[in-house]
Amino acid sequence: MITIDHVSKHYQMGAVTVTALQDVSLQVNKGEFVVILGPSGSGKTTLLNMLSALDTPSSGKISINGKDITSASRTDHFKFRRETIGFIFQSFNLFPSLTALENVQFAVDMRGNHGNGNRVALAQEVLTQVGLGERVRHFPHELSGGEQQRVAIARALAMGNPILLADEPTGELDFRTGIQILQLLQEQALNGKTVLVVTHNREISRIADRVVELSSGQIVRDGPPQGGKAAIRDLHW
Amino acid sequence: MRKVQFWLRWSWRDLKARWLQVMAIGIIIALGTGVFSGFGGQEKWRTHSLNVSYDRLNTYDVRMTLTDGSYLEKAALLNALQDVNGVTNIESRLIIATQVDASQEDETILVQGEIVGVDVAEGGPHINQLYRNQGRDFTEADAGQNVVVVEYKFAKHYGLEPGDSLRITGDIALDFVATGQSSEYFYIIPAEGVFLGEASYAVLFMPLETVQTIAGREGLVNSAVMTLADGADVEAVQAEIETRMAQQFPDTGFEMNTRQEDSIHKLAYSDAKNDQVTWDIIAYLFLIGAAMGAFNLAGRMVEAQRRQIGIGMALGVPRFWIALRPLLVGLQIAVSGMVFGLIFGAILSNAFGNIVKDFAPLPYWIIELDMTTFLRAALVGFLLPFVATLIPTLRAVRVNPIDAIQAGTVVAKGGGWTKLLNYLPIPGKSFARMPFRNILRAPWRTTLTILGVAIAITLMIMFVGFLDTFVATMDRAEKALLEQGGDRVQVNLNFFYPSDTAEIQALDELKTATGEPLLAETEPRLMLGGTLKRGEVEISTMLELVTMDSPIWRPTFVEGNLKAGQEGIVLSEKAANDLEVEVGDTIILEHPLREGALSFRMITSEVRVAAIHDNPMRSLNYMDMSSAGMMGLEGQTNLLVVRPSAYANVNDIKRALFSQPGVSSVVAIREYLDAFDEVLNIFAVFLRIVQGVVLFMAFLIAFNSTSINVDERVREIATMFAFGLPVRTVTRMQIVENIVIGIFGTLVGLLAGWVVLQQFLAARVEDQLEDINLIIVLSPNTILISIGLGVLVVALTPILSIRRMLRMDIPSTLRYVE
Repeated sequence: MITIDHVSKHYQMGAVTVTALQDVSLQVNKGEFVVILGPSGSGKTTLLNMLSALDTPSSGKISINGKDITSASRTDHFKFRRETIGFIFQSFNLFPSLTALENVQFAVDMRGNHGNGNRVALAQEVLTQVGLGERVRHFPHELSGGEQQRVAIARALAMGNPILLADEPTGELDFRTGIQILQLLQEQALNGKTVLVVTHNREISRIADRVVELSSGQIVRDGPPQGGKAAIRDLHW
Repeated sequence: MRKVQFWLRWSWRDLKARWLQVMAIGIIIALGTGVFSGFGGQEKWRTHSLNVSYDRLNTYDVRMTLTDGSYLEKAALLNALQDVNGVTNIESRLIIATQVDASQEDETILVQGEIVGVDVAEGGPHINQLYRNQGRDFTEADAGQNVVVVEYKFAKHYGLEPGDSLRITGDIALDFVATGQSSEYFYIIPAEGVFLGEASYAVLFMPLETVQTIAGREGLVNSAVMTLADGADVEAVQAEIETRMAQQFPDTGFEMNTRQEDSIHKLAYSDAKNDQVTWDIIAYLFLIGAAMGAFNLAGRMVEAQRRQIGIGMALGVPRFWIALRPLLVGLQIAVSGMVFGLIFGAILSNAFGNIVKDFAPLPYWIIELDMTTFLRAALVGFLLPFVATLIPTLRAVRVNPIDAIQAGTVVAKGGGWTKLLNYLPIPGKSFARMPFRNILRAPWRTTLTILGVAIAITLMIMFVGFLDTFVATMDRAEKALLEQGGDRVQVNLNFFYPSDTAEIQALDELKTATGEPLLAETEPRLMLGGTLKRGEVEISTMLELVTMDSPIWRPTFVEGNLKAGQEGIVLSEKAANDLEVEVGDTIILEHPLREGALSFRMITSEVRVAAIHDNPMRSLNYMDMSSAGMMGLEGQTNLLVVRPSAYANVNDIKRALFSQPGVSSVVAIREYLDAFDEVLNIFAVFLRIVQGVVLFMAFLIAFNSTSINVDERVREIATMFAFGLPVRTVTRMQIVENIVIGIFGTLVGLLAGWVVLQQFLAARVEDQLEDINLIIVLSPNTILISIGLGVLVVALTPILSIRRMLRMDIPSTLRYVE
């Protein structure tokens, strides 16, 4: 379970103090598919950075499964990300010198000791799950955007970590590919992973279990999608 | 104007963001331009200084040297040569070998040397004048007095000053009145061939009459020097001298040489020339390394600005203005390299001038800045990085704006040659694979970095290989000279004496201070100068006549054999190679033939090559003592080889023989090699400095490359951090990548260094080291140290990026799109 307790984040920009998050409190349960929605500058990415221990709050506390990550050391943050978080980025951030299979294998390697055969098999299996079983030997530059994002999802999944954080995962994709990616993410939530998707696309929030809407660093709404949860096939943008 | 200011400001920000990389390349360029400008003009100013020194000391134009053991009446010789057409002045000298005891209270200094008896009348000597460093000049009143001017380099080496105690063979005390220099001794190279031999060889200048008395050669001389009128035909002069000598002194052999043929003159000028070649090679290698670094950085900077360039093009900014920004950084590198280079060059030039002055002190040094070289260096230092920046910049502004602007999926770079590794799978985790993939990902940059490191290693190999080669050659010489009878001592006599004279027989009876026998064994030998000839090839030789069944020492044959009593010559390998002969062939030997008590003439004899010996010194060649008859010296000796008894050491023998009549010098055979060791030690210190500089260059190149890689892969690194990969693992991956680059760079450098070393030595051998059979080697130590240092320095540079990675703003970097 993720607990965000009265978290604020201020940045000093020269003489001006910018508040990115203001007294945000939130709880996310295991297996939830949560969309954090908001316009540019609303603080949604800052919140994601706090959750992944890439950044620390100015005040407040964040606990994951009861463990306070705000007061942890830098080394503990690395360990926390390694063991708890799976990342999916808007621009994929695949390793260009590794093939699709090796990018996923990278995540498997992060998890610890596996035999060489097991590692390859596991990576292959995850890639097959995301529909890229035939493209494993391709380098990122040989894949389309959708395929690259699917490799990124496979990489995050291969970590085997309970929380998936996705920052604008469809931002660089066309509608059809975006839908495929969202479907994959939804499936992960159904399989018991906690999935948090950050987006400014209100349409995407329609398929979430819960929508947390941010504006000027504050939660302005927290609940199921307006008009009820929609099926993926009903999305349009 | 405002436009220019705008771009300058922007470029200044670029510089601030990359000042470390810019400085690193600037320093490499500075090393290159510094060496170029600092040493570029050294040949010119050294040659100029030599010209001035030779001219102001009124150095001879023609020198005549009588065959060893020959003497002529001074008056008769001068009479015979007076009025030779073209000769403006002539002076005779008597040059004899001696042992010098310059021991001071705290140091025993017992070395061999020679005394040059010169004419001191009317402010003489007038030809080959003495430049006085300390003390007073000779006066006419010194004629017949035991006054001496000590050659400056020997005095300087041992810290001797006028007034210090000085004795010569026969235990004769001398009045040490000055230190000075003569152009015939700008370098001290004893007959055994030790370059920089001032530690083991003393040259003393004394009034001619005094030397004649000391040597027991009253009125006699054995050398003459002449100056010629401007425009005189040297060959005609020499021909006339030969005619007159043949008429007047048909039984006396002699040799003539011009100033330009003087081995010291040749060495001094060729050293300046060869040093110039060496420094030019070094400077160019530095500059090439710097150009590669500049090319790497410029390429990366242009790549980083790719989208901005595209946007600029889309907005219709002219290509010139777009290209200006990266070019301005090239300009900054160029200017910093040039300015630092010229400052560095001025410092180097000054330091090198002082070193040269110290190693080969000339009376007149004119160290001047060669403006042409200086400006050429400045231009090269400026143009090189500028051109290196220009190429990637021009390539960047030639793409379509849309290709430059695109971001996201379509900018995912091509994998370079990474696919190659699919054919060569690397076991282990993906972390283990990534460094190898990264190496192949940017093949151009990897190649430039490898070549940059290779250049540094090439420089190191060139210098250390030079030392290795000398050490290996000297080891071989040491083995040849010392493996057998290593404790032997050479006693040079001042003339030829019958081996059975009472004085020589009496040596066996010499006792130590405690009454024990001084010598264990004594063996008479002959040492003669001569020339080996075959076809057009002529090689000067020190021919030693040895008893080939000697219990003390005889040459070790690598081919053929020569037994006691047999005729034939034992050649050094180098001499045999240069003459293109093998065992069984015949050569012409020009050698002295005794015609009278004090006269020898040179004759030629055909001799069979009986064997080849293992000493790398070309000039050392041997015959059996039974061949003495060929020289008219049967039963005679001018060299005794002795072994100390169990109760004595070399210094005991030197002291005991110092006062013996007829003994000119006493030298332990080991001393020849000790002198070489001393020179090598000086050289080794210089090499350590060079090693440090080239390693610094390798470090700068590797640092630059690693730093660029961190820049380029900043998002990948941030991604790894986001996945929780520890900094140490990322650093380890970079170290592995650098180790591979370091290994390749070092291997290429080793190979290139080996080739350059061969070329470099070949050039030196041609005109400076022709008498040494150099064994060109790289010792295993050198190879291991080069690999170790090359790889280590390159491998460890990522450690310097750790702080930068620790301070990385991961969220911003992850979102950042170039």
